[in-house]
Amino acid sequence: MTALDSLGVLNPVSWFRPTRPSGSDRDGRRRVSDRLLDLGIYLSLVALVLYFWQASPYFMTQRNLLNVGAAVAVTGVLAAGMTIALIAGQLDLTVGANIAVTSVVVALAVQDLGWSTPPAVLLGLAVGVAIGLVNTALVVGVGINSIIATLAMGIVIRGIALISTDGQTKPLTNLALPDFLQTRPLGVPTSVWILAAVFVVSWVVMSFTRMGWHIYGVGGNASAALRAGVRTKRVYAGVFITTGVLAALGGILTTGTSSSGGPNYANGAEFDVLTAVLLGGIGLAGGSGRVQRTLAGVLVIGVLNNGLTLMSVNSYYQQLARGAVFVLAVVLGVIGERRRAR
Amino acid sequence: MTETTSAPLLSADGVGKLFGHVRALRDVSFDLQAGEVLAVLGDNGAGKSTLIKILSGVYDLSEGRLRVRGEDVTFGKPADAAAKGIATVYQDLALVDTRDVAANLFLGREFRRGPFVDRRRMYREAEQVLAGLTIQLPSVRVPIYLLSGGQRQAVAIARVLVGGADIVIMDEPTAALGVQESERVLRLVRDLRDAGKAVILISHNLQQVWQTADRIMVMHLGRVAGIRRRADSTVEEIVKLIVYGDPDETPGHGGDQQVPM
Ligand SMILES: Nc1ncnc2c1ncn2[C@@H]1O[C@H](COP(=O)(O)OP(=O)(O)O)[C@@H](O)[C@H]1O
Ligand SMILES: [Mg+2]
Repeated sequence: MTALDSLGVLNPVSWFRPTRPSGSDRDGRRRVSDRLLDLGIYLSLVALVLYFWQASPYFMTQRNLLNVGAAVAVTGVLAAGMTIALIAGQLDLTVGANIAVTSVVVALAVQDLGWSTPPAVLLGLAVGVAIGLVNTALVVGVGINSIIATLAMGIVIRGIALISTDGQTKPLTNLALPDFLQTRPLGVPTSVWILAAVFVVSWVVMSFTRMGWHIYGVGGNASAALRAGVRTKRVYAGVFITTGVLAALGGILTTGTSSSGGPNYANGAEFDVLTAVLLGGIGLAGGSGRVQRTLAGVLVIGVLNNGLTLMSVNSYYQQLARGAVFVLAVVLGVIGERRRAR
Repeated sequence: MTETTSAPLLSADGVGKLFGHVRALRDVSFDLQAGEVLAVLGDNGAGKSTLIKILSGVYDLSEGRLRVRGEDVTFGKPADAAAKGIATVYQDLALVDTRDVAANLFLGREFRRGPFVDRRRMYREAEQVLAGLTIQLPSVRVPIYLLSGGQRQAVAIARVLVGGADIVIMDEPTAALGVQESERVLRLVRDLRDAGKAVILISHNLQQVWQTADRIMVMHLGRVAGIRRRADSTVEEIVKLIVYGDPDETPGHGGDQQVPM
């Protein structure tokens, strides 16, 4: 057996066949090709970093790297939520509209109602919880597929945001929130701290708590989880509330960094988020995926955008590069899916 | 296995089941002792699935009664049966393919330490439980999708051991397996018996259960055609029970029916 052979490269069928134990794999060891695919996203991140490091003298500076982090903060926060939803076998497409309505609500509370910033932020998070509860009611209560339910809800929610400001962007003159997000504890932007906290908490919950284990179980085989005594409806509610709150957090970050609330913010944000999550190699069938891999996917996008800008690449070509990355993410996703399917 | 000295773990007395006007089960009575394997055989439509659904709390019974350890029980839902120590290994095994062996063994009953799952304890206990089974797994950290059919059965059976059930119902555990894997799974069934469990083994393959069962209950058209100690019976007798519902029937009388072997 040659090295290529052992990678499964010489047998085209094996590209599309899931890995089942056979021959030397019977003891449950995984193929080398699978392991490489598993490491792919981390290797891609390292390769991009090395490339831009030698291509631009500005890339590998502390300031620039922190800029990368700040630039992907909102996408990253949403991607953490989307990862958890996909692990549960669900999708939440309300997150972009959620950002818009949250930013509008926070801006209106601060500007028109004269609220101070902390209660306005709490109100914004409550909006996220409410959206999560409505999504849960539609998906679990009524039994609508989550893609359809959240797609429709997203349109409704953005409509509400547009109506409440008459389609206008609402600027903030009370700058407490923007000023807070300008702070740099220990030299690191607050948004990067928030991004890091979201990923650490998501990782801990998914890997080390019963809720996380149940989310994997429900996503992998809902009827098995139910028969094993998992309260699956509660799990779904927890998932949609999480995606709702994380999107609201993204909305608050957006309000702060733009010093305004806008009903058109984050239009189509779901695509950037899905690109990052798919780059992380998540299975669309549910029950698999890792938040740390999604973080790597988020950083690949951030590094790519930042590096191309530093190299003064024409923005049309940047668009092309982003599209290529999306296609790559989808292809990797499909391969991963086939490898997991039976 | 001295049936006279110990009270039965499970007993059914005149159990019947009606689906509207369709009578799926009629007057089913049997006892089940700890440490024995009772095979339930019968042709398609004999009522095997209906019976195990009643025993595992999926269906309510229409007539008769069930007792567990001498105590009358009524099952409104599967959790009620589980609470009485009855575990069912479903034909689909109900495993989460993407999760590893330990996560599957403890799904829905994960050990905790403070706010976190106690991974170390689950991996350790998973290893202990699986070490007691005759089918070996490479590791308790392997995801289910990498396992063979027999290894999956081992995980499903280990789930029963972890849950502490003492009555185990297995629905056609070898139906989807090849000869060798079936052989291994039947050895697992004997592992369960040797661990003191009472096992109900549903099958329509007499050959496969012959070496495994202590007693054989044959169902025919929703009735119990007969219960035999394997040691006191013959393959011919059981086959006649399966095909004709009567041990004294002679071939030819019932037409040219196929013998299900
Ligand atoms: N849900 C149901 N509704 C109506 N009839 C049923 C239902 N389930 C089983 N039956 C009938 O009960 C009889 C026994 O079926 P079943 O228990 O599935 O037999 P087996 O598992 O031995 O093949 C069959 O005649 C079947 O058609
Ligand atoms: Mg059946």
